[in-house]
Amino acid sequence: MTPLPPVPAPQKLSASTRLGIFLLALVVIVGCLFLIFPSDRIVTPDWVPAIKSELRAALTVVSPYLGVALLSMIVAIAELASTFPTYPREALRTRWARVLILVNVGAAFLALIIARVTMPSVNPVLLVIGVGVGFQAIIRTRFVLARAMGGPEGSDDEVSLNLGWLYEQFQHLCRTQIDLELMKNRRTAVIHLLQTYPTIAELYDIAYYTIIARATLTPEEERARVEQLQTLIDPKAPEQFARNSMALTILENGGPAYVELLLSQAMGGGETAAAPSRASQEELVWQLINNYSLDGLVDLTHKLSDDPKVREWVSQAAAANQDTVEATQKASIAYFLLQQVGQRKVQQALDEQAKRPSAPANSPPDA
Amino acid sequence: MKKIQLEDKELQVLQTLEERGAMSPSQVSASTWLLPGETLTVLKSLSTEGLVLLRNDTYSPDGMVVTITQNARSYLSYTSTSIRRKKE
Repeated sequence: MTPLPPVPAPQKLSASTRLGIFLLALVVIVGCLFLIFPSDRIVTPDWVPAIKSELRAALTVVSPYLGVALLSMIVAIAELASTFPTYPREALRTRWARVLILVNVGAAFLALIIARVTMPSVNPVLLVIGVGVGFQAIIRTRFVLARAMGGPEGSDDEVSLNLGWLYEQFQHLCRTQIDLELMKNRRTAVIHLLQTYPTIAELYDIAYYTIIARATLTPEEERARVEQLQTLIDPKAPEQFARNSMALTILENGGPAYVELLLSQAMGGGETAAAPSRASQEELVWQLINNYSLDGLVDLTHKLSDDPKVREWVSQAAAANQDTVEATQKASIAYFLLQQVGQRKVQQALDEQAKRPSAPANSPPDA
Repeated sequence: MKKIQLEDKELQVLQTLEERGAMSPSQVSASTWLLPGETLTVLKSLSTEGLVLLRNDTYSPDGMVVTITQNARSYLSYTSTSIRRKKE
């Protein structure tokens, strides 16, 4: 197996971004404290009340824009999160997600300016709510003006005004571009999964568990996904395609954070490291297969175990049989030995064998 | 559900696969104490019945992998429920 590249750490905010957010929060907090500070009750410099009144006046002008910006941002974020339910965090970090949010905010600003110019007497709070919510609804709406009686919805017999058409096109563009940006991360995660869990058995088990462990899937959805997974283990599916698709199933059902957890677990990191892993067991099996002949494995069993039942089973498994092949016999004995005598004893035997200058006649190294 | 009659060995293999998940035929053999040739015969028979899926896997030490199907899971669940009811 090729050495595993380091697992990519979860994307975090850069130091400058964090500093920017901190400074912004500080300015907002200081501004609020400054505004609510009772300057009329205690002695303050002359410029304080003047600055306060100017700040209040500025806020009166800016706050409606902040309000509609906030509402349009919430709507855009909700749309993105529902479009990419498996990767909401990653989707929001993409360049096109920022474009979508900025366009929403910009359009809301424009709508507010138009509304303020055309309806100057309307209560500003109502105007903010009306534009923040109403405008978002209008640009996503298709108004049906007339429909043939009994005609189906969306048929050609309808007369409609589709205000949402332009936004739909833009949304489609953003969705496609975000999806393409996420493709790179998906492929990286799949490659890491395949390198860490190379066998179909491991991938299948993880994928199966990931599906049945999901709390939000309905029984029908769960059954459909398990059936889809089963089609991948069908001998008709090409092997590499099956492995790739199983890794993708794990990612799609578990999400990037879950994949990161699986990868760090496999690399023995942190408290979550499993007991003897399946990978280390398979590595020992491969070493036994490559370093011992069938007779060599029988001798090794006699050396490592005193149990007559174990010795007899291994002798019978190693006997010539037309229903099986040598590779299967060796693999069966190797797994059996590991189960019966434990990984530590087998590892010691392999280490001892490796230290010997030349291998004995009955256990030639094949690999 | 189609009535299925399984031998003890077949049932043992299915139960092992249900408990331990997908594995290579060699692991099935080592877990059930069935001899390798015997295990392959049982697995092929179960595969014909649609109770297991057996496919090639170049990363597996014996080049194959086997897993239980949803039909087999339903069958095992049905069988264990029936046995429990009979005992009661």
